[in-house]
Amino acid sequence: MLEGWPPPVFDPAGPYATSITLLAWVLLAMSAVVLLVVLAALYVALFGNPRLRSRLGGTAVVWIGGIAFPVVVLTLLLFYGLSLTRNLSAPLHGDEMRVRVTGEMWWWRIAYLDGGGRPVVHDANELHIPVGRAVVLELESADVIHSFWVPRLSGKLDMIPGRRNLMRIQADEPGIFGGQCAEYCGGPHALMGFRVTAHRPEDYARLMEARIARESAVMSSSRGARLFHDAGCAACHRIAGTDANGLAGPDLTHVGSRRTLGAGILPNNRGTMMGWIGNSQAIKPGNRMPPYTVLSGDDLTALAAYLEAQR
Amino acid sequence: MLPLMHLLEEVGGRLSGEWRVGRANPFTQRAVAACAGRETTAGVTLRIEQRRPRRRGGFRGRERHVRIIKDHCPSLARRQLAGNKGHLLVMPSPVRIGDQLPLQIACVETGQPGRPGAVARSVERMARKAGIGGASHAPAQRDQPACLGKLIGGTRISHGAASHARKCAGRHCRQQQTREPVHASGGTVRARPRFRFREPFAPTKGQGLADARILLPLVLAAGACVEAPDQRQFMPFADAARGERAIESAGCASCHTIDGIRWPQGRVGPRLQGFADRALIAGRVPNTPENLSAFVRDAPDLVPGTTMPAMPISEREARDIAAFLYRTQG
Repeated sequence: MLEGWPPPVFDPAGPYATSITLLAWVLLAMSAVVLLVVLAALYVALFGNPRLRSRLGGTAVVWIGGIAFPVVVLTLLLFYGLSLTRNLSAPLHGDEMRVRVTGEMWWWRIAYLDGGGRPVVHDANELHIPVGRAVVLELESADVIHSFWVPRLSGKLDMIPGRRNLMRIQADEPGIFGGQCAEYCGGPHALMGFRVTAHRPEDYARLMEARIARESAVMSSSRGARLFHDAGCAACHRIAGTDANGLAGPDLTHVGSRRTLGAGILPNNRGTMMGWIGNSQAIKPGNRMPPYTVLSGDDLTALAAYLEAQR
Repeated sequence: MLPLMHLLEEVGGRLSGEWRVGRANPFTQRAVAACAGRETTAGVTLRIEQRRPRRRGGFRGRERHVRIIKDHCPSLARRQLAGNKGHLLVMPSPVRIGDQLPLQIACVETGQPGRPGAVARSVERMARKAGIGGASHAPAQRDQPACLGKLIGGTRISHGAASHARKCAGRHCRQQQTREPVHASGGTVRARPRFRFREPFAPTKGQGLADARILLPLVLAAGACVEAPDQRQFMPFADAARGERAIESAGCASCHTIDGIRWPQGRVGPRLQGFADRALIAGRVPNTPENLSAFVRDAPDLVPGTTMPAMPISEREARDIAAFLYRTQG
C-alpha cells in the first residue's frame, strides 16, 4: 500500500471538504476521459487507415470535437461544480459560532468570539471546534498575505491585510486535522502550520468553560512566573492572570495543553520546549523569537516546567 | 584449527572464479561472532562478495543473500532488512560460501557513502593490485577496527591472521602483534592509521587477467583485537530505522543537531555524531548501550543535575534511538 495515502485533500472529514473532494474527482475523471479521446485520435492520425485519417482531418471534427464539445462539457462542468460547492458560499445565518484567526509572521493568533463578536478566549496555533457544527472563521492578517488551509475540513482562503474573509469549516468526527499556511509569507513560511482539534460537543463545552474561567483567574506568583518575567518573555507573550501581557507573540495561557510547538511543527514535550526556548532560531530560522542563550540549564528547565503547567 | 582458517582455505580453493572485494564492518562482525557462539569478534572474517556481472548465467545473489541472513543471523536480518535495503542489491553474496560456512558469512552494510575509511581504501588498493580496475567497494562505516588485509593466492594460505586471532582472542589487546615473517605488518587504526599489507602474490610474467581472476579472493580478517566502541555497543534487538522515527516524533533534534536528521538542527544541547566513539555520556557515565538507552529516556535519573529532561518515549524506543545514535558518523 502507498504510504500517506490518501493524501488529506482526498480524505475529507466534513461537508465542506467533501464537496471539494468530489469536485476534484469529477474533474480528474473528466480529464482522464478527454485525454483518452485525444490519445485515440492521435493514434488514428498516426497509424489509422487513410479513410479514417481523412475523416479525422475534416472540418466537422474541428467544429464538433474542437469547439462544440468543449463548450458543452465545460459549461455543464461549471454549473455542476458551482452547484456542488454552493454550501461553501451559502449566506450566513448569523448565529454560527465564530472564531477569529489572524495570520502573523509565522504563526496563527486565535480568538474565540462570543455572540457579540468580542473575543473571550485567546489562543494560538491550535483551533478547537465542536463536531457536527459549522464554525465560521474570520480570517485576517496582521502583516502579509497568508492562506488558511485545513485540507480535510475545507478549501484554502487567503488572509489579506485589511480584509476579513469568512470561511466555514466543519468536522463530522472527532479528530485532529493538520493545517498549513498556503501562501508564501516569508522565510519560515513552510514551518507555519497548525492543528484543528474536533471535540464531541460536550467535551468542547467543558473545554471552553474551563478556558473562559481561566481568562479571568488570577495566578499566584511562582519561580517560573518570575523567571518568565525576568527573562523578558512577558514582553511578547501573554499568560492570562499574570503580569505577562505581551501581544507580539503567541498567547501562552494554554501552551501546556497544545500538541505542538512552534506553530504546528514540533511535538510538545519538556525537551522540545527547552529546545525552542533555548534556541528557536535553529529550529525555525528567521522567526521573531530571539535565541535565549543567556539562560542556564536550570532556568530552562524551570521555564519549561512553568509553561508545561499552563494548560 | 579455527574456523577462520577453514574459511580461508575454502575460499582460496573453491571460489576462484568470482571477484570479491571486502571489508569488515564492526556491527556485522559482532553479529557473526555472536551467531558462531563467540564472545569476541577476534578472528571472524567478513567479506563483501561482488559477482562478476553476466558471467556463467549467474546466481540469484540477492535471494541467496537474504536467505543466508535469515537462516543464520535472524536478529541481524531484521535490522538489515528494515534498514538500508540497497546493500542487498549491490552486493550479492556467492552461493557456495554461504552454504558451506554459513556462520562466517553475514550481510554487510553499505555504510554511509562519502566516508571511505582506512579499510575501504585498502580494499581498493588490493583490488587494483589484483587487476580489478573498477572494483567498487562499500565505504567503511567506521575505520575503527584494525584490520589485516591479505591477498590470498590460489591455495596458498596465510594463517597469520588466524594465529594472531587465536593468540589474543578474548583479550583486549590494543597493539597488534604479528608473527608474520617478512612482509607482514599490522597496526591498530588508532595507533597507526596507515595500513600495509602482506602481498604474497605479485603478478609475474604469463599471469594475465585470466590467472589473476583465480587469485582474486581478498579477505579482510579482523586480526587486531582492539575492541572498537561499537563492538561493545552491539544492540541486536534494536532497530536504528525505528529509532530515527522515534527521534522525529519525540523531537530530540529540537535541542541536538544529530547526524542523519535533516531538520531541525537544534543548538541547545551537544551535537550528536560519531556516538559510538564517545567514551562518556553527558561527561559522566560510561557509554554503553544500556546507559545510553536509559539516558535518552530519563536523563535526570541516570545523571542527576543534567539539563536534559526525561523524554516521553518507551523503553523500546529508547533502545532504538540508542542504536540510531551508535550509527551516526563523524
